[in-house]
Amino acid sequence: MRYPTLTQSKCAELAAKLASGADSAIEPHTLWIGHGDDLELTPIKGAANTITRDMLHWRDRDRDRFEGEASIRLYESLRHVPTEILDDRGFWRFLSLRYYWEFIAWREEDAFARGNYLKYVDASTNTESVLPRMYVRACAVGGNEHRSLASGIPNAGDFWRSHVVRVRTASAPVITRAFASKHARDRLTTDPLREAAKRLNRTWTNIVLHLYDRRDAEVLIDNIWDEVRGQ
Amino acid sequence: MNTETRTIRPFTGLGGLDEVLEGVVLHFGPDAVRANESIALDMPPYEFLLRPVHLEWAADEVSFHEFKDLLVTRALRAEIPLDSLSLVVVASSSFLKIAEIVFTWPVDDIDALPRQTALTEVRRPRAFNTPFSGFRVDVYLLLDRDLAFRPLRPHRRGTWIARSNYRIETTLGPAVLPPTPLTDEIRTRYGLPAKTIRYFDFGDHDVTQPYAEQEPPVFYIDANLLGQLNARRNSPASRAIQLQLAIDFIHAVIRRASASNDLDGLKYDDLRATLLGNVLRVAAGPGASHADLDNLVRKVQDDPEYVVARAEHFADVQSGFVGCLEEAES
Repeated sequence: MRYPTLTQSKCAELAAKLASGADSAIEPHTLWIGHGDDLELTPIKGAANTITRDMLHWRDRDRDRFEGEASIRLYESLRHVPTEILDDRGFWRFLSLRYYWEFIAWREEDAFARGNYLKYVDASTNTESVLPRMYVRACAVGGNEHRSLASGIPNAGDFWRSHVVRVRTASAPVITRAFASKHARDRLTTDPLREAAKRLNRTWTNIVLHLYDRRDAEVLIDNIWDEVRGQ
Repeated sequence: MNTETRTIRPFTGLGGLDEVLEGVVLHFGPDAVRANESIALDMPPYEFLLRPVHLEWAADEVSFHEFKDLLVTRALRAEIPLDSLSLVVVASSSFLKIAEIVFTWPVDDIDALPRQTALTEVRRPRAFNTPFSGFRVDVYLLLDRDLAFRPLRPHRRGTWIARSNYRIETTLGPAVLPPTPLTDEIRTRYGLPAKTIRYFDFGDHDVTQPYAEQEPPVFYIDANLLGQLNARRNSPASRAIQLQLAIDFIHAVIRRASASNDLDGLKYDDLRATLLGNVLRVAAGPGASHADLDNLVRKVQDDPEYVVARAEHFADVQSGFVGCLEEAES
C-alpha cells in the first residue's frame, strides 16, 4: 500500500511557513512510500473537516475535553490504516500539516503564539505531538465504545498526558478505564493524583497488569485511591 | 528532583526460580536475541513485516528437559504451587503504546510445552508490525491466581517471579530531548527562582535503563526564551544558544549517570537502548569501535568531564559558536 509522508526537515520548513501565516501547499512536498494501492484518505479527511468545524463552535475554555472527544473521531477514521503506517512518524507529520494544522494551532494556541509549534506537529514524541497523543489516548480507553471516558474528565490534560499516555498504563485499556473512571467520579487534586499515578506505575514494576480484568483493575485503583486519601 | 532510581524486588526465598528464563532466546527471522539483550537492525519495512518471530525455550532437547525440570523443582522448593504459575509472553511497541499477551502456558502442563513457540504463526500481533519503532518481547513466569498472603512472598495475581526481555530496535532514540516550556507555574511547582532558564526533571527516569520503557525526563527551557529561539530558529544567536542547550542536556545525562552506582561492570552493549547510550554515541563520534564505547562507559564514572569534552568536540560546538559570532558581525 502507498501512503503519504513528510520528512522531518520538510515538516519543519512547511510548519514555519504555515506558522507565519503564509499559504503553503503540502502535496508537492509529500513523499509517497510503499507499493500498490493508495491508502484511502477520504475518512481521514472527513474526520479532520468535522473536528475543525466543531472546534469553531467550542466555547468551553477546557479544550482538553474537546481533544478527548476528537481523539475518538480521529481513531475511528484511522481504523483501516495498517499498523506499520501508523508507526511511521512521517505519516503523522503529513496528517498534521495537511489536514489538522488549524485544529492543532487552536489546541496549542498559547504555544503557537510563542512560536513553539514544531513539537506539536512533527510526531517526534507521542506525548506532545497532538495527533499521536490523541490516537494513543483513544486506544488507551478502548475506542468508540468508551468515547465518553476520553472526554469525561474536566480539565484533565495533565491526567491524560502525564499519567496515561506517557506511561505503560496507556498500553492497558482495562487499567486506563478503571483509572479514568475513578478520577472522573472521585477527582484527586494535582499532588494526590501524581502520587496515585506513581503508585500505579510502581505496581507495573512487579505485576503484569495486562492480565487484569475489569474487576481486578477497579479493585487495584480503589486501593490506590484509599492509600492516597488516607495519607 | 526525585532521586529514586530503581525498585528492588521485595521477595525472598525464590531459590533461583527467578533465573529460569535466562537461557530463553528470541528469534526474529535469522537474527537471535539472548535474554535481556537488544539488537539494532537496519532493514526495509517490508522485510521487517515478513520476518517470523519465535521463542526458543532451550537450545536443544537435553537442555530443554533440564529447563523444564529446573522450573518445576525450583517452584516446589520455593513452595509455589505449580497450578498457580504460568509462562506469559507480552509483545509491545512504544510509539503506538501497543501491548498484547501473545502466549500463555500453564506450568502444571509444562511437559507438553514444545521447545520452540511461534509467535507469528496463526496471526501476527500488531506489536510485530512496527518497522519504524521496533518492538519488545517480555517473557514472564508469573502467578496466574492469588495465593494466600505471606510476608515477602509473591501472592498477588500477575506478580512475575522470573522475567526476560528482548528488544528489536530499528531506530535510535533521541540524544537530546525536545524541550518543554518552563512557565512560572512550573517554576513554582519545583520551587525554582524566577529567572531560572533551564531545568532537568529526570523524575524516576534512570538514564542507564532502556529509554522506551520509562517515563522520559523533561527538559525545561524558559517559555519566553524557547519562543524566541523557535521564532528565530536560524539566527546566529538562536543557533548558538540551541547548541549550548544541547550540550547542557548531554552534560546533565552524563552527570546523572556518573552519580549512579549502576555502571559497575556495564559495557556499551548493555546501555545501547538507554539515554546514556545515545549520549555516548554522540561523544564517541562516527566510526567509534565497541572498545571505544566501552572505554567511554568507564570514563563516565572516572572522568565525566572528559566525556562532555568529547561530546563538545563531535557536536562541533567550537565552529558552531565561532560561525555564529562571525555571522552576527557581518
